Amino acid sequence: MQDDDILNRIQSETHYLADEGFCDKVMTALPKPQRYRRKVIGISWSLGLLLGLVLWISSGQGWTIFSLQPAVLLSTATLSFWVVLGLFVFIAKDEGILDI
Amino acid sequence: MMPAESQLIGRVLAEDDRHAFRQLVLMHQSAVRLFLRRLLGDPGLADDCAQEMWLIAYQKLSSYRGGSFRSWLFTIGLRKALRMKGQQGRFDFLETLDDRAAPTLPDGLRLDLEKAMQHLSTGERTCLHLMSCEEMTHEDISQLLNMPLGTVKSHINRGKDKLRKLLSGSAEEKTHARR
Repeated sequence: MQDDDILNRIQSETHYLADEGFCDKVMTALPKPQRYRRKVIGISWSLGLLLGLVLWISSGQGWTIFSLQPAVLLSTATLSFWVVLGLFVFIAKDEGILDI
Repeated sequence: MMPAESQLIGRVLAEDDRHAFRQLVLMHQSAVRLFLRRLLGDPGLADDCAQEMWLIAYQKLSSYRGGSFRSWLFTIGLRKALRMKGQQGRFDFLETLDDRAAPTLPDGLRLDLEKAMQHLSTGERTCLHLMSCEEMTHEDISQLLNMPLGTVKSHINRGKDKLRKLLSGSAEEKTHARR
């Protein structure tokens, strides 16, 4: 038996393995999709920074040009808080972060 | 017609497209499982290893830098197989040259290929599989298995000699092999 015959025989007798559910097992084992996570984290950070900036500017005594009414400040802070919380709940539900 | 492999990889990276990843699995699952079966010698263990390999491939896909995607998968599979065998980073079991001769069979008896392959060492079996079924060169195998080129050639030559003896039922070849 020649060398090539041996290699050819290995090649011809090594048969393609049918999927037989292997692919489904792999796909089931993959982590849940994270389509929105990056965007939501980015938006949350931006809102947090914006809120911090507004509070910092408004607290400066000499910055009269930026001085805001306490009611506006409170509204902004409240709105930002609920938006960030809402976004967190959204991605948590969508991506199964809170799944047990 | 299936989209090109590179397009599928791009879609997985850009959009986390699970359908594209599924197609990649379908394209390469047989080759990966066959390679791991030759490497580990146990179909059940090899399939478990292949499943974990695909999970790692999914998580690390962004680190794929072109070239043969199948070789990249084999590299991950090989590392995973080594970890499963408790030999993290050690390729000793692959590199060790097996000096034992093939078992002598009674005259007229010949083994089928699968049984004959079980008489080869892990290194011999893996190198012969990569060379015949994946049509890899000695250099490719050396690079993939992180093994000196000379060792790859020795594995292939020794594996072929053993298979020649085990697959041939003729007394003449056995006499020749004993010399």
